[in-house]
Amino acid sequence: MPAPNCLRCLARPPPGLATPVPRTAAAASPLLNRPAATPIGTRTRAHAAPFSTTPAPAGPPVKPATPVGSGGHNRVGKKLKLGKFKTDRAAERSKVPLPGERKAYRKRITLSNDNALPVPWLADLTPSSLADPANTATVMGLPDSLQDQLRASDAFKPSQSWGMFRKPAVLVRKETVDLVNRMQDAADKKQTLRLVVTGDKVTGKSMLLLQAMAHAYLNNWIVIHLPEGQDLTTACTEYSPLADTDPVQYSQPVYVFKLIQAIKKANENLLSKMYTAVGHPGLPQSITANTSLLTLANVAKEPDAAWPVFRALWHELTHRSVARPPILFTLDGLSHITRVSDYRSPAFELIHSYDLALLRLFTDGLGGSLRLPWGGAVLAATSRSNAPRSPSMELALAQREAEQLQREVPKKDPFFRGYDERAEASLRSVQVLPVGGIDKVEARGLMEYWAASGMLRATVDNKSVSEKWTLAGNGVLGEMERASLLTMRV
Amino acid sequence: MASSAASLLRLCLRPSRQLPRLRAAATRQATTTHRTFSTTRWRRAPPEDEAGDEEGAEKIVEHDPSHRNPGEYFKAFLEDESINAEERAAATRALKDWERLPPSEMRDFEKLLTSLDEDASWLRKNEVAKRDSFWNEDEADPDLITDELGEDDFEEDDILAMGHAKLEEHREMREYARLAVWELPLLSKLAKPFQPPVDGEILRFRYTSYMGEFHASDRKVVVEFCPADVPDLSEAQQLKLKKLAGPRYNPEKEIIKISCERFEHQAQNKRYLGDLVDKMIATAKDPTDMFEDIPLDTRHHKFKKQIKFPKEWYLTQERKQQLAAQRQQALLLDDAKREKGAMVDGMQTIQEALAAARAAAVEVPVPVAKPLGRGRR
Amino acid sequence: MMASPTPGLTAALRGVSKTLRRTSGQPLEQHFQTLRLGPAAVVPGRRRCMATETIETTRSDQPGAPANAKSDDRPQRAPSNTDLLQRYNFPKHARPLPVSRSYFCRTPTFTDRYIKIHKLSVAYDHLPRNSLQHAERVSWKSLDDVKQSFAEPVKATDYADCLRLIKVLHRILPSLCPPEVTEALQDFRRDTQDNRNVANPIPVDPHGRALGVGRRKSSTASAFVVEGDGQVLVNGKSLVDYFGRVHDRESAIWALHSTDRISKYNVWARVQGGGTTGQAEALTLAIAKALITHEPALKPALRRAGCITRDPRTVERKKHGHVKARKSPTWVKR
Repeated sequence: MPAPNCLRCLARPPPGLATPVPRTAAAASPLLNRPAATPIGTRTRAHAAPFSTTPAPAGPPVKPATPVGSGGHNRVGKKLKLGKFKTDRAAERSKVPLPGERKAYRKRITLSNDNALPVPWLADLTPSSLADPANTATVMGLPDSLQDQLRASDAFKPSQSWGMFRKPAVLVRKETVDLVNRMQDAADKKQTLRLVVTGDKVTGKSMLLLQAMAHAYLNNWIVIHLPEGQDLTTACTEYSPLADTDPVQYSQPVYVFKLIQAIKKANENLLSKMYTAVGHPGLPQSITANTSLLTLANVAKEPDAAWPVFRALWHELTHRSVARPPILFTLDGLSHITRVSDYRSPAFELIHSYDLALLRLFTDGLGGSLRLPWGGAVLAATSRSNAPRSPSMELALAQREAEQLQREVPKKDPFFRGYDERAEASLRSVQVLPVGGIDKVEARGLMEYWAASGMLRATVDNKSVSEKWTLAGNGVLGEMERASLLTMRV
Repeated sequence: MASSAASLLRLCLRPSRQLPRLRAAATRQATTTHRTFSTTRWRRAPPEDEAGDEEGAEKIVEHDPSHRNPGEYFKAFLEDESINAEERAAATRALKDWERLPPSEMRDFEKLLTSLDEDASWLRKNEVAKRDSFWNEDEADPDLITDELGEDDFEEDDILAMGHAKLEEHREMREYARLAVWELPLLSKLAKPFQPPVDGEILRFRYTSYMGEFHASDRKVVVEFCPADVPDLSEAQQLKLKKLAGPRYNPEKEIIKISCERFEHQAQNKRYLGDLVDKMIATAKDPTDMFEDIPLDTRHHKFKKQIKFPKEWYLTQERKQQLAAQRQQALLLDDAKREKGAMVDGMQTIQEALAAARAAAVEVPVPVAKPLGRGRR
Repeated sequence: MMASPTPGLTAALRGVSKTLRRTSGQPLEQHFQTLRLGPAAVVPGRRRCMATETIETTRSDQPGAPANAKSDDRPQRAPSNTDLLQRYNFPKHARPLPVSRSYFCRTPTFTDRYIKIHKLSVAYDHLPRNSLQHAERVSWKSLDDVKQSFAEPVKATDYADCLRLIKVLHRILPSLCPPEVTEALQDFRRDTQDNRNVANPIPVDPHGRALGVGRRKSSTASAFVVEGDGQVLVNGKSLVDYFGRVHDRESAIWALHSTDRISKYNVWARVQGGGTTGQAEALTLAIAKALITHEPALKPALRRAGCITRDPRTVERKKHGHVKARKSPTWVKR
């Protein structure tokens, strides 16, 4: 009597059989097959986000080879076919997207839409326009060079609807003018503005950061932007302990390497005109004084050298002896970093986010222990979607806001354990900029821009404006977009 | 021969006063094992001290079921050390008698035992109410109005017990109806007007009454009071009192609520609560440790968020003016835009753009192919 | 007199009735003493439903007598029936005669009424009448109602004829209508006049708010509508926070939207029960009702927008033998 299963099928695979390479092995050696495929900041209409944390493969994907030993005896039995019209689904399916393709599609940023109508009266931003209260409630376009800079520093997000209009443009709101003026004041006085932008979902917090960055770029500031706090703390980029630190700090070489590339790309003009004040002999390529900062940044040719180069660059930018432009240091997604990260120390203990060197630099700036000698701003924005709960951050922000409005300051819950002392300390003296809905005048300016772009098929008058304004919960920006642009109704 | 067999049988069947001793010798049996020759239900063995009572009522003790015939039984009996000489002699005699029987009779005897055992098996079965039977036939009816005792001795000079019970039920109901009509209104004479608590009465007690019926919680007493009402308490002392109360403090109502059902009588519980409150207040006034390092714990209480109509929406005169101004401004803005032709209309913009695109498409010069010369290919 | 607190009922239920019957017999007997007949219980001249007219009724009908009897002697013992008969001159033997001749037909009460209405319609034929439009709208009893209220098998044709006369009589000008007509028609009016069932008007309170209540499915919404600039708060949250779907937000303020009043009113609402859709649509109704208070002229527009009518559709109950309300179990062969 024949056995129902071929016994050889149940045996182990023969040693000669090619085992598929695990993905983790590929991830462990990112240098081998990484950035050549996605050069940062190449100007394509749609391309992968430069800060992708999973490495894209260098070549076409290797198809799993058919096992050598799986020759003839893998008998396929007769298949029962029910329904003569049913076709084979595997055959029907078209080409499977390559690894990483779906993510690239998801993360792509499209900044223009050729089908949208150009808006004749759209003015481009000038260095002073964001600080001018007269521009409140108008929509202004981003100049091309600024677009490149912002794109290089990853300021655009895929969730923002840039791809609906002919040209990227931003609405100047009261908060924008306020924030930009505060920044400018601080820079003029060579002080550091430390501020957290907070507010409800889709009220335009990240957009406000973008506007701050736009202002900084236009006014020749050095801008360093960490696009997502999550990338740094969820243990998805490499990390290594730094020597001579106690308690031990950790650098994130790959991330910092990319960050240097981004800084270099975005601030190229400025960096090339600045020269080092002191020599940096410790770097892989020795840098003498009076070298261009761009050259210094270029020393980071591989992730291992990234952190020393970044330190050197930072040291140069904040050097007191030479005149330097103001610095804008921004981070989006604050609640991801005001807590213990997912990284583990060699003793398998969780590492606090503030022990990651790059974040330490940022939080020192936010907390006030790090001063920018030539002025500037350290800005952070909270996020309401995809944000872990960070009770100490929420409490600290609520307290700062109450202090600003001179209301009763909310107190700490004495019986709650989840507070984070270090996060609290870093947020003890920041300013808070609460962002809410826009008012009807601003809403009108925005809707006029939409209608002029052919995206809103309605007359923009008091009636339609107040309808959308109410539907969007008193002018929440994202909700206004949802209610008027993203509905299928025409 | 036959008579001897019959006497043997009788001997086996006869309940004997001596047999309790046998039971002690016998190995302990599981309660469900079948017993030869017994029509009575299984009963629990009496406790040892009663078993030793010589003058006790005659106890019926069954045979050891492991013995399939008298021979085995007597053998086992003789092995017992505790029997006296008389018994031993009688048993030896009986055993001899048995052994003298021809084998066929022995077999018959065994058969007889087996058949008897089988026939009487239903008598030994435990009665279990059939839960799944159609009418729940075997269960006692809890709603029955008579106890069904002594109903059989009916002398035909009266209605049945059931009838009497029914009548009694009616009388009962009518009695209560009469009470409701005639007596209950009189209770209003006993009514006392409500006296609101005066200043000194800070404790509010709650009792539970089940109208004379016994209930486990009719002894329960609950006391409620507000720490702010307690005389001569400073702020700090009040706070300490709240901390002492722990989860019995309701921070929303600012009331401490303590209950007690520890003692058997209501009065005792109330006394205890009174003493406890006194003690708490005395402790709160004690300045040695004011619990300043411990914050007031309200984790036990879930605060309910109160939502209220926003006051700034009230339609006051100022609000009316403000709204009128806003509307006026909006209307003026609309009018101004309309006059200037600056009103943006999405549909119109699209139409214009399409028209322009069409016009542009028309203007594109169509390349006309140069006519080829005749004969040239 | 308080009954001794016998544990009677419970005891009886436990079946200890025999002993009790002996002990509790005494107090019960005493209780019956309280119920013994007094003269007030027998009121002369009050007739039972089977009306009998006796010869001596007029003589015996002395209204003072029972009152006196009640006041002067609440008797120590119950007087026998013969005493009573003598005292109040009840006839010993009398042949009962029916009051009305219709006693002998199938529907005596209805026939009496019918005859009376017929007589009235003849008698007051000359009185001026309202036109049909101007007469007060009244719902008359249906045939079933009449059958039930008179407890008689009234014929449909008879009642139809009667009703025709009733309607004619009803049209007599109210100022000239004789009271006996009104009285006669009273028996044929329905107890509940649905024409009079008018909703109470919603007031606008001193703060300028109007409170409307709306329901849909199992949700209930109560909305304060006040003049304002288009802000909406639902359960203390903004429209966006409370309703995730744009469609729900739109349907919540549909009453304001369809009448172009979004920018003129503020809404503060409480919603409870049901799901998001139900809550949003309950809000529609609530806001519409409150809006009508502010601007009654909007009612037709709101009705056209479908904001006035309460949607009566709710979940259909599950039936036994079905998997859901209507779905049958799958048929299985044996």
